[in-house]
Amino acid sequence: MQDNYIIELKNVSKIYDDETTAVDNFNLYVRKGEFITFLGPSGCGKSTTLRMIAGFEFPSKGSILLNGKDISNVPPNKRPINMVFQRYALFPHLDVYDNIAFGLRLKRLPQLKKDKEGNPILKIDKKKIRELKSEYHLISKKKHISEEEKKAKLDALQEQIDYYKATPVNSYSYAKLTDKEIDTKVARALKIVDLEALEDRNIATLSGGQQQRVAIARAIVNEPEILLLDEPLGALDLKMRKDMQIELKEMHEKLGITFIYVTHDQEEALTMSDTIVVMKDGVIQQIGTPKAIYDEPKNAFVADFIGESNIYNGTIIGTKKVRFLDHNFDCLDDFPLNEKIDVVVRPEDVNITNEPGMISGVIDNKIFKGVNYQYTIMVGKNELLVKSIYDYEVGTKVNLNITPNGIHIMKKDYTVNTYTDSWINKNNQVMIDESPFDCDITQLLPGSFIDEEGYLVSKDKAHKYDLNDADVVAEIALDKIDVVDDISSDECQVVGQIVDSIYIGDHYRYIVRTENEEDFVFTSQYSYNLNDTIGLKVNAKDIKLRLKKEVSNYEI
Amino acid sequence: MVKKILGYSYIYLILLLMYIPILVLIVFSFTNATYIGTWNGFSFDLYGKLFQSEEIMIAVGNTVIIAIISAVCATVLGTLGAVGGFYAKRRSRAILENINQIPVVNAEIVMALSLVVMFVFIGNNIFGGANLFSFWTLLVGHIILAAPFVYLNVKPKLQQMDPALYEAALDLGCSPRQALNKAVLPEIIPGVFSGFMLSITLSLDDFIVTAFTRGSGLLSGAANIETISTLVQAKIKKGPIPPEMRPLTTIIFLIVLLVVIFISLRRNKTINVKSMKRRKLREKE
Amino acid sequence: MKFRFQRKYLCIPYFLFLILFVIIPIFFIIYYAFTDSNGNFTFDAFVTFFTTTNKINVLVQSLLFSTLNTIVCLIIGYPISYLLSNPKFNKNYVLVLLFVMPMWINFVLRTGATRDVLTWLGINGGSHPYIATMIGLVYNYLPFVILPLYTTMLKLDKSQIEAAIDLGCNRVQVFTKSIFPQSVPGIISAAQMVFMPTMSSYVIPETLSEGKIVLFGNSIYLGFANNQWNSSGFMAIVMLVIIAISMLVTRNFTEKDEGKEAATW
Repeated sequence: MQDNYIIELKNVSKIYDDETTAVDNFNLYVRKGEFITFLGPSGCGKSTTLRMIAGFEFPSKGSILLNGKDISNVPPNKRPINMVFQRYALFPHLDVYDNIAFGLRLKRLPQLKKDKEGNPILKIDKKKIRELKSEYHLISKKKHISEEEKKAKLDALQEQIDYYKATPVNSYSYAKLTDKEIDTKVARALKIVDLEALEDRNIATLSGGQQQRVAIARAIVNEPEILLLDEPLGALDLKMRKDMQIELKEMHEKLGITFIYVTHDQEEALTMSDTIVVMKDGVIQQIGTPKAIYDEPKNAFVADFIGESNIYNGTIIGTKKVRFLDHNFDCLDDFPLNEKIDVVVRPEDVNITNEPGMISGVIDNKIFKGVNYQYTIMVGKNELLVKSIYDYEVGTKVNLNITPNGIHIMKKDYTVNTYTDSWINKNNQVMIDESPFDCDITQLLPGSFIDEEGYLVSKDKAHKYDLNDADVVAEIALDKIDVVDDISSDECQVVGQIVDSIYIGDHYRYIVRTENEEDFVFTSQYSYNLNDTIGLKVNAKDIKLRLKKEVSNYEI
Repeated sequence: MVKKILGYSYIYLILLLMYIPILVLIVFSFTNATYIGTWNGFSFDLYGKLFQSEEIMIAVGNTVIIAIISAVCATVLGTLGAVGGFYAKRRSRAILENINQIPVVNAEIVMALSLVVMFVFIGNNIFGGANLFSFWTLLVGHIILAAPFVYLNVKPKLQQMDPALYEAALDLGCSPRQALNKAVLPEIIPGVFSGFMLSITLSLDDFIVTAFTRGSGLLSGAANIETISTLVQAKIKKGPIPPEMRPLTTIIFLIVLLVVIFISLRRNKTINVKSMKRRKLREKE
Repeated sequence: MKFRFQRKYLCIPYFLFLILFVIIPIFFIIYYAFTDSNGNFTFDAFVTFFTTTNKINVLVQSLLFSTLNTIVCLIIGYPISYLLSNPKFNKNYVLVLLFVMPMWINFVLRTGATRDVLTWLGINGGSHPYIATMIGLVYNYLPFVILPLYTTMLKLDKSQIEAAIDLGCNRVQVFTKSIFPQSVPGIISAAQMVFMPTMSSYVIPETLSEGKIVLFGNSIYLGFANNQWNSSGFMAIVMLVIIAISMLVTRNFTEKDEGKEAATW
């Protein structure tokens, strides 16, 4: 039932003024008391989502519901939600005590106003009307929502405004908390974070870990319904971080409130959360328990981002049978026959055996990791990462087994590059991402050829076509894109930055993003670094074209 | 060692040369002689004359009043400008900062003249030949002199501030205005203070802008407003510094000295009154 | 429409103030510089300025005084700043305060005192106007040189100096190859603090030369005092142009400096 959810995000998108989309169609339901983590690389939109929940940003589309009530456009100071900031954001001019008491001193408790007979005094609530009007104004300025949606929202608000204008309601007076009450609450918060002795200390004299605790105390002392934590452990050293992870988890159990935690550290997410939301490029990749996410990653990105993994290209060769590493394995997932898929195998799911095994390989490299050894084993020309507690020498030939539940199969996220906004220019080149690519346009009409004037002529020479400006869909296979080392050379057709790289057995798969935000996905034997700027070229024959309209439209 | 002695000798020699004129005035403020260089025996006569001189007392009063009012205005304007500019879009901030830079690099005399021609023009063409020059025009001149420096003093404090502080205050229940007062203002207070002190100094020391933009008013009544600068300038144009102004130098010197000592001692004070209050609160239980 | 408070609106009063009392007055100066006393458009002030030897002389003399004053102040102030930045000489900032303190005493009073003392010593403006004016200028502007130089010297990269020694530089080479190049931004801003203000100064040359030396500032002041708005206005424009040129010349240095800081952030 909906009642279980404390906070719901429905189709939430955030589009900034410069039209960059930070969060795209985000849907999430959080149960009361849950510890939920947004996990993803930097720039994936996790912080933006958190800031929308806090109220520092308002969603461009969609709505955020707290206990079933729409709070999308409520300012942060009116939300029962508190945040622990990335670098704590403690007030340097206040000491520990005053930092923690900050929120309490602002709090006003409403008390019903009554007349002498004890009947509540009814009044027109001008403040409420003001608030509603300002929300009305905010929504009326939104750009990214449909007119109908906007109208519906505005009408609903107008109705409320009219109601409050016409109907007197209970009026309240507001009382501050007494010094005594504040002191009791602050003392309790200090106890929870173990800082009783430091209440008079200046913020600047505290260590990172202590500041962290003050930041937590400052947030929880207000008894929020939800506590937001924006990479709160990022500034701490490793040892401190581990300790704080455990403490935060304990605190969560003790307080019983909902925690929404943002991190890019997968280990942190796995240890602490009840639920993990993996994000990339503003889109949710997977939502699940830590175990589900680790064991059943939905795609190669999740598999690669969470824990260590081996990723291979595979083919389905039968019911629950898959071929990769030149061997046919049994598996648990059902996919259509002959489908090309990604296979993920966790290093600890591979067993080294002295008996004859499914596959065999030669140990290429070994690292002692404390509890076990990590081996890189060459299986044919593929690398396989394996963890084992047994000690083998480098160069040993070993046999390997992979059980069906250790083999995770997922749909390929990229099979081919498709560019739907391409067109043919006057030189019979195809324009992809505003760069011209040589291509063979005769493929658009079987048997045709190009005459001296550059027109396409049909096989029987009866028809002539001018394809200048024709809209086409261009497709380039992942392995048909080559890297040009010298980005200033003429060969180089497009330049971009590597934004993603995954190692797949014996090769890498990269995503290169150009200045115009067009992606080129390609595979390569060679290793490039993330964020490198590289040039790409494609041979004319490797670009597959498809006209959007019938070719007859272009006849002259 | 030789190096050190040479270094110190150089420093103290230059210091001595720099202070000679002031020291001479101070020394000869304790003797009742018309010209410096003649010693008529030790006396405090000149100090008595100083305080009896209505002319000087009026100038001192004017100077202080103008300095305080103009510094307060410049500080408020400059601080609001810096805070607003900090949160404005990059382009508007660049425009604001470029304009702010004009009075900083501009020659004082050009600035003063430009104000004067504007006031004259407006007086002639809008107010039918009225003379606009008064305390208010003088005040505008002094604010323009100082406000850009307040802006430049506050700006770095804003840049050093953790931008999340404002959001933290909102998160804890502050309205936007409360957040500015409770989170942002305490962070920039040192910059605001040094901007204020600089404004006072610039106003006290100013001659050109005062001479150009002044009119009648303040303690001078119907006559043109005299400040220490304009009065001294009028006197030294005709002859040596009048004897009764030598004690004025001594007094100004002493005040500056006290302020300097106060500033260098201020760093060491820390008394935590708050913690004592809290302890009391709990003892009552 | 309802007004919604945004933090950036706080700068509006100051912005309007600047427009009203900085930008618009400059246009008035331009207006006066190119009109005659009846308000008709004319190039008279322009022509007069460049054809009257008197005015050109004032300009040349002001440039000479400014240059000389800047150089003398730098020569005296540079070693002082260098010594002050060394903790061996300046343990607790008191010496720096001593150098800055004269700035807080009314400068007209100081100028008068300087004049009186010089007269006492026999160097009066009547007989030695040039020397007296130079001394007065240096006295007044020395603190303005010491402060920016001192702050730059404090930030000198000590490890770079050590590296220079390590690489075999002798004392002179350490200075020419490491310390001096590092202090160039300080020298530039110190020069900025002296050069233009000297040109436009009025009280100091007027008092110390007893009216014999007329610098650009005096000239504008006299024009103003005699109600010659148009010629004063034109001279103010010449001044503005010189300021703009000096800003452009020094801009390269300051910009590079800012860029460096941005990079280290």
